[in-house]
Amino acid sequence: MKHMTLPDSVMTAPPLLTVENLSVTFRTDSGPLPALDGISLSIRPGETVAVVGESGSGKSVLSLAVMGLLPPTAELTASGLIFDGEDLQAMSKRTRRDLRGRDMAMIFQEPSTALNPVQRIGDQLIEAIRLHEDIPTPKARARAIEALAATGIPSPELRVRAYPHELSGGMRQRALIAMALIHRPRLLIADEPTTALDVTVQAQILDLIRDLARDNGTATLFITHDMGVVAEMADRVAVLYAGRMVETASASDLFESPEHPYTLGLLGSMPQLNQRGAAMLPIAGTVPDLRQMPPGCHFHPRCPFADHRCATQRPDLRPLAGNRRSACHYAPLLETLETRA
Amino acid sequence: MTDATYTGSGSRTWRRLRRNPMVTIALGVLILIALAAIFAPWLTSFDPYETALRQRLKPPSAEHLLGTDSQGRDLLTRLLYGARTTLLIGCAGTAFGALLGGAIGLCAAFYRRLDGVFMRVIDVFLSFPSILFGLSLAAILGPGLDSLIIAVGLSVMPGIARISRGAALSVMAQDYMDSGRSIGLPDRSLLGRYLLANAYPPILTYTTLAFGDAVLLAATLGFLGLGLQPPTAELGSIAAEGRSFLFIAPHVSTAASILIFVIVLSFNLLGDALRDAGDRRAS
Repeated sequence: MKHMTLPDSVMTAPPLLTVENLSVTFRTDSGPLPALDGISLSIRPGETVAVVGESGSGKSVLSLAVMGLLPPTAELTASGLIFDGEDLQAMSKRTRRDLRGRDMAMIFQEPSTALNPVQRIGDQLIEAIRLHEDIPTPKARARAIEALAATGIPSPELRVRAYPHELSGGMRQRALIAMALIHRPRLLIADEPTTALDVTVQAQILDLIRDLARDNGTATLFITHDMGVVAEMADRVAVLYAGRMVETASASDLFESPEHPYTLGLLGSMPQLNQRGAAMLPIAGTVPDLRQMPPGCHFHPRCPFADHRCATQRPDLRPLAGNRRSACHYAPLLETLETRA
Repeated sequence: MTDATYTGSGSRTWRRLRRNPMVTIALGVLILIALAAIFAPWLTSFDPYETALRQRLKPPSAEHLLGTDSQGRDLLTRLLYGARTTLLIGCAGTAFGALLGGAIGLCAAFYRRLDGVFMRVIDVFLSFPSILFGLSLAAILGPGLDSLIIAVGLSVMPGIARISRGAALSVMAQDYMDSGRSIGLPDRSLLGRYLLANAYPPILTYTTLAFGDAVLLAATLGFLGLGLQPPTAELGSIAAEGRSFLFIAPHVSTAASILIFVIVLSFNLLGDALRDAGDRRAS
């Protein structure tokens, strides 16, 4: 669990990114595929917000939507998509492109495929630098080496001459982090940045992202399915299920008392090292087909608490005590369990 | 995609190519013919256009190594100059077709909105047999070197566009395309250094195979009289001229045909070898 609390100035600052009622639908040959449905989310400067969910919950679509990288087959609607006071939806393509890399940047899940295989690491970094800053190449090269050094890559002056395939996965992810943070963006989107890495490297990369983000005052949108990573990184958490937000709370509240059965399930699926013999409680079933959502609460077929109301009535995301929200008819869960018992 | 996928694939392809004796032979033959065609004026003392009617249709001899044609011109000289023309049309046509087809294929994959329109147009092109297509184009565009190059180029273009689109689509699915976009790269950088730089190997292979087709088409157009007009030497038209004297002087048509055959075969062998060397499934 993260013990450092953010200073008050961060908690009261106006949000850097506001997403309001965001929906994304993909046009496919077999009909429309709703990937995100009515997501609202905000991130304040310097804050780390984790977006959690299983595969297919729409987490990656959210990150692409914010970056403006959705494929043309995706249809995006939102009542608000505001970055630093400016409306992203109203922006020209050109302005949006200028934001990318300079004000918002992204780290991808697969370091092995996220670097251009035919270009040297240094050239890719120099290109990234010179896209947004008019400095001569030798100067940019020095900056690139500096940036690689800051991510803990040994002998960066040699690595700039390497091709991606000559580096290990962890090194490649470091190079990608260097590239993403080279212009000190105000928003960093990290889409499962450690999933493809060895466990020993994972912790180092998480530390690196956290430290660099803190040093630069970068807000981080952290996409993950790993509750351990959430506990490590996040100030606030948003839980997605099948394209909808089912719960949002501060990280400490969420781990203390989850207010949605799905969150409870995610926490139950975490291995516990300090409780020997404690059984992991996986969530039964799988994420439903996005084209054939069950009626009512999307989670009800897998929910141990579900009753007839859940099968027919769709729960809204409603506020609970302590600045948190849950989309469960029976939240707060503890009270419900007591009355049922 | 794992680490090994890219590891030195370029140099490995080269090693495989060099091990293949067919490549050495085909490449050697092509280089030899190309050099002979380029340096034709220095290799032969005969004039390819000066007629000597008393010397017509002579069989091979010490003076005329391949004999003479119906106008009494040295056949070897005619073939060297003819190879010049035919190879020029074939190469320039292929280059033109590859540039156009490559651009269409890459753009169709990159700008998905264009894909439907572009590929339907390519389908229409592909629905004609390429010989027929080249013939009609050459007839429409009229005689002349430019129109021949365009006709040959447009005939090989649809296939190259198809292959390019396929290769580009598989590159488009890679994370680095999104990653490049996420640092704010403009489309032209993404198209060139990201898309083309990673998608080119199959396009190059296919283009090598298309060379053979292009040369064959150029010769066919010449043979059918839609090529450059006489007395310009061109392999197809030399073969056609000799056809009238096939029974009394078979060496004219035969020599021209064999030369065309050797050129096309060499290009195809080279293309096949290139394809096999690039194919990681082949051991």
